[in-house]
Amino acid sequence: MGLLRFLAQRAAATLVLLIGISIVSFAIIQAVPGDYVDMWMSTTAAQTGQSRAVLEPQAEILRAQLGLDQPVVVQYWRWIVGIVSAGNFGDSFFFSKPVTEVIGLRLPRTLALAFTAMVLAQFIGGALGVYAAMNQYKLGDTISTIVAFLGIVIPKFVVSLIILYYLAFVWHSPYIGALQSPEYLLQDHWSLDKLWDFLKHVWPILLISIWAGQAYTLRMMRGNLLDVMKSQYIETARAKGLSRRRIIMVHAIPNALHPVIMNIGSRFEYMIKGEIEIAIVLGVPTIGPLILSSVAERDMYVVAAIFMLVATIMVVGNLVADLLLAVVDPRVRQAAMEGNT
Amino acid sequence: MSSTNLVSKICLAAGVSLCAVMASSALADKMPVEQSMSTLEYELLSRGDLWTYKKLDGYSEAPFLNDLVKAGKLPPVEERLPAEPLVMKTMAMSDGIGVYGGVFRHVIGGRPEGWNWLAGQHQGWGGINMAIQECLVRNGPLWQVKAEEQSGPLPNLAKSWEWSEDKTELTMHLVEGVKWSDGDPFDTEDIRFWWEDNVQDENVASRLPKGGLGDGTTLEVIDAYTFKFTFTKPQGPEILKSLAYIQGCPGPAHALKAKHPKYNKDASYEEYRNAMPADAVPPVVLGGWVPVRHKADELVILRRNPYYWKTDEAGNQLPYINEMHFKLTTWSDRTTQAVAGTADFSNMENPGNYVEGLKQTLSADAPVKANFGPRVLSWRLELNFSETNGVQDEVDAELRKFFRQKDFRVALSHALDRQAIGQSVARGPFMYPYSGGFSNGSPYYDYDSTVYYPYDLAKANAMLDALGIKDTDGNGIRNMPGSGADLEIDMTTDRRQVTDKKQADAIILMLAEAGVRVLIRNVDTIDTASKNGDFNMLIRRKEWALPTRETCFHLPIANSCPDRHLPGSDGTRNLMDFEVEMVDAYNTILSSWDAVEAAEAAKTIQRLWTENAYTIGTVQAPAALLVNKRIKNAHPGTPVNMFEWAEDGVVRERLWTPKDQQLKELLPGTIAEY
Repeated sequence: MGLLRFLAQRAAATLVLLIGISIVSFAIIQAVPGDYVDMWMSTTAAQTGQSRAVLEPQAEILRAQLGLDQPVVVQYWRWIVGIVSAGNFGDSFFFSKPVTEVIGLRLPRTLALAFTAMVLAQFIGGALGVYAAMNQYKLGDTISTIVAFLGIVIPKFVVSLIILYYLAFVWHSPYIGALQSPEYLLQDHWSLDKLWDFLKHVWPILLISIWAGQAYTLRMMRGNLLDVMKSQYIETARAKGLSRRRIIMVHAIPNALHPVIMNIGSRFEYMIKGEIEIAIVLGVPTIGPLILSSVAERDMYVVAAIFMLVATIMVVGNLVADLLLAVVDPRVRQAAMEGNT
Repeated sequence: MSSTNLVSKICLAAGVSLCAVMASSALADKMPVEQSMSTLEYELLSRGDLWTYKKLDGYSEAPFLNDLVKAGKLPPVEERLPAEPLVMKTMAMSDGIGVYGGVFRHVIGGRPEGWNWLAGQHQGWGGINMAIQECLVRNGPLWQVKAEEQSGPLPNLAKSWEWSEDKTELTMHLVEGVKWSDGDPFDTEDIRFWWEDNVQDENVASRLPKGGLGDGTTLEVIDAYTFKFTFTKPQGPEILKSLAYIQGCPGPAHALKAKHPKYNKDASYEEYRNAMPADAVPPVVLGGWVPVRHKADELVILRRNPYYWKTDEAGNQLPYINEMHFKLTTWSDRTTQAVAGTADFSNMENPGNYVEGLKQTLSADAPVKANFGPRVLSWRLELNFSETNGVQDEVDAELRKFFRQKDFRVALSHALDRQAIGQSVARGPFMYPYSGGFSNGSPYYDYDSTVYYPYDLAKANAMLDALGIKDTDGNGIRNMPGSGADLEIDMTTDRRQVTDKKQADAIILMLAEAGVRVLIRNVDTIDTASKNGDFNMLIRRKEWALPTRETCFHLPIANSCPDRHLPGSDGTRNLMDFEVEMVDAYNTILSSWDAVEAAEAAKTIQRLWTENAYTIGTVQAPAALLVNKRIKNAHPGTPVNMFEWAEDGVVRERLWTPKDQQLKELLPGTIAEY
C-alpha cells in the first residue's frame, strides 16, 4: 500500500512537472523575436528581391492560415488541448505536416542510438572498471584511467568535429551525413547488406557516445570494486580459501554493480543529450539537427514538442530509476514515505 | 580562366596591396586599384550566344527513353518537343556538347514543404525549386552577358515579347507545343490560372504578390500562346525580371484546378496550399527533372523529364543528366560533403574557412574544384538615420543627429583599418577593403565612381574634434556636446555569424582609438532584429549586385525601408538630400529603355553612396562555387549568387559527366509515371 501511495505521489508530481515543461517550452520559442512567417518573409525577400512591405499582405494570409494571428495564450491552449484530446502536437510549418510525423521519424532513432550506446557504455565501462580495479596502479589501470578521463574531459562536439574532419577530408568517406546510403534508403526491407551499410554510417556516433559514456561507469565500477574488496565478507571468503577469481566474480562484482545499475536512469538522460550533440555536428538525421533547424525556422510546434518529449523521457526515466531503487532498497522506500507523511 | 590561375592572381594582387597600403596614405578618395578587386574579369557573351528557338533537322534523346518509345510507353521525341524548342548554343558551353547519363548529387538543409509553388510553397531550396519550375523569363545566366546588353531578363517559356508605344502594354508569346511532364499541353490557360486564381486571389500567398507588377496591372489572354499585360503607367524593361524564378513560374492548371476553392466548393484555401504534398510524387512539372521519390527528411530523387522542351545544337534533348539527388541533411553539411566529394555542388562563402577549403581543393586528388566567381561578399556598418524611430532618449537623439552628418560618417570610415579587419577574419590574401555601394563583379559596379576613405586615425580624430565631439571629462571617450554623454554607440551583431563577430571585435578596438566606445548587442537573426529600426548601428553582410534586386535593403524606395531609415510613428521621415538623389537615379534605371543611361544612373548611385559613406563598408571577399570535377559545363566564374543563385546561373540542364565518370543511377531506366 505504501509503495502504491509513493508511486501515485511521484506520478502526480511528474504530471505537474510536465505541465510546467509544456509552458516553458512554449514560452521559450515565443520569447525569441519573430515567428515562422517572419522567416518565410526573409527567405522570400532574399529569393525574390521583393520588399517586406510588398510581402506583408501575403504574410498576413499565411499567419491567419497557420493560426499565428491569435494571442499566445490561445495558441498554447489549442496546442495543449490538441495533445491531451487527440495526441495532436500541431503541424510543422516548415514541413507542412503533423509534428508527430516529423518527430516520429527521428525520435525513435535518437532513443535507439542513445539506448544502445548506454547499454554498451555500461558494459564496456563496467568491464574496464573491473579490469582497472584488479590491476590497481599497474599499466592497464593507468591507461584505462587516462582513456576514461579523456572521455570525460574532451567535449563530445570536439571529438565529433575531429572525426568528421577525418571522415570527410582525409578519407573522403561516402558514409557521412546520413544513417544509410541512398540505395538502401529506397529499400523498405532489411538485409545483411543494408545492415552493414547502416553500421558503416552509425559507428562514429556510437563510438563517441560510448567513449564519453563509459568513462563514468569505469571510474564508478573501479572505486566500488576496490571498496568492496576491503569488506569483511570478502576477507571471510578469502579465509575460507575461495579462489580469487571466484571471490571477484561471485561475491565482489554483484555488490559493486548495485550503484552502477541504480545510476542507469540518469545515464540514459546523459546519453540522449550526448546523441543530440554529436548528431548536430555529424549531420545525422536524428532529433539533434531537427532541434537546431526548427529553432532557426521558428517552427514552434516542433520545437515545443521536442522539448516536451525529451523532457518527458528524461522525467519518466528518472521516475523509473527511483521506483526501481525503491523496490530494491527498502531504506529508500521507507525514507521516501516518511518524507511524504 | 582556371580557378588555380584566379587564386594565384588574387594572391598576387593581395601581395602587392599589402606593400601598396604602406605608402598609400596620400590617396584620400580612391581605392588603390590592386586593393579594389576590380581587376578580376570574366569572359562575357552576347544574349543571342546563350540560346535561341528553332527547329532542328533531327532530335535524339537519352537512350533509355528510346527504349520506352519502342515499348509504346512514350510518344517519339519529335512529338514530345515543341515545333521550335529552346536550343542551347554550344559556344556558351565551356566543355561543349555533352553525353547522356549519370547522377548529380546535391546536399541541402531544406525540406520540401510541398509541390504547390503557385500557393507559395517552397520545395526545400538548394535547387529543387529550380529543377522543377520553369518561368516565363530567366535571370540566372545573365551573369554571362556583356554589360552593354544587360536590359531585362532572358527569354524562357516566353520566347519573345513586344511593348506598346507608350510602354503600358506588354504582349508575350509562349513557346508553342511545350508539354507538362505528364504530356499535357502547356498554354495560356496555365498562365491565366497562375495570374487570376493565384496571383490575384487574395487568399493565396503566391510568390508574385498581387501588386507585384504594379497595382492595377491586368492580364488578357489573346490566344493559346499569346497574352498581354496592361499596366496603369509606363514601365521599363527591368519590370520583366519579376517574371523570372520564383515569381513568374506557372503551375499545372489541369492538375490544380480541382483542388482550388474557386473550382471546388468543398476545398479550403489551406487545403489548396497543400494540394500537392511533398510525399505525393510525382508532381506535374515543366522543369528538366521530376521528383519521383521523397523519402521524408532523408532524400529526394528526381528523374529526367521526357517532355523537357530544350535541346542542344546537335538536337539532343536536354537535360544530359538522368538523375538528381537531394540529400536532406543540414546546410553546413552541404559544403563539407562537396569538399569531401560526396556532393557535387555547393558554395563556399565563409572566408574563415577559405584557407582550409582551398588547401583541400588544391590537392591533386581532391574530388572538387573551387571556381571563384564575380560574386563578392561584402560587409558594412549601417547607422540609423531615423530621427524618431527607435530613439529612446536624448542621447539617442543626439547620436542620430551626428549619424546624419557626412563628416561624422567619414570620420568613422577613416578610423577603420580595413586591412587589419580583413586579417582578423581570414589570414592571408582573401579579404579586401570595401567602401560600400554596388559589389565588385556586379555589371553596375564602377571603379571610377567609387569614393574611398582609407585608414587615417589622425584625420578621423581631427574630424571628430571639428564636429565638437571632444573628450571633456578626460576618461578617454569623447563626449557629445549637447547631452555631455560619452560617445557610446550600441552595435547590433548576429551572434551566429562568426565573420561578423570577428569584425565587430576589431571595430570596437579601432573606434576606441578614435575615442568612440562601441557596445555590442547580440541577436539571433539580424534581419528580424533590424526590421523595426530599433538600433543605432549594426554590422551585417549585404551585397548589392543589381539595382532592382532587394532594393529595399539599400535605398529608401518605399516608406517601409530600408531598416536604417524608417519613418517615425507619424509616418514621416526626413530623407537626406543625397538619398533623394539616389532614389531619383534608381527610378531612372527602372524606367529607362537605354542601357547606357541606366548604367550612368547606377554610377550616380555608386558615387553618392560612397562619397557620403551612406553605409560604412568594411571588407569584401570573393565567393567560390565548389563543383565536383566530374561535372562538365560548370562554367568557370559562375557566381554563387548574382542575378540568381548558382543553381540557375550554372544552367544545370546543360551540365554533363563523361561516361567513365558517371555515378550509378538509383532508378535506372525509369521516368515519372502518372
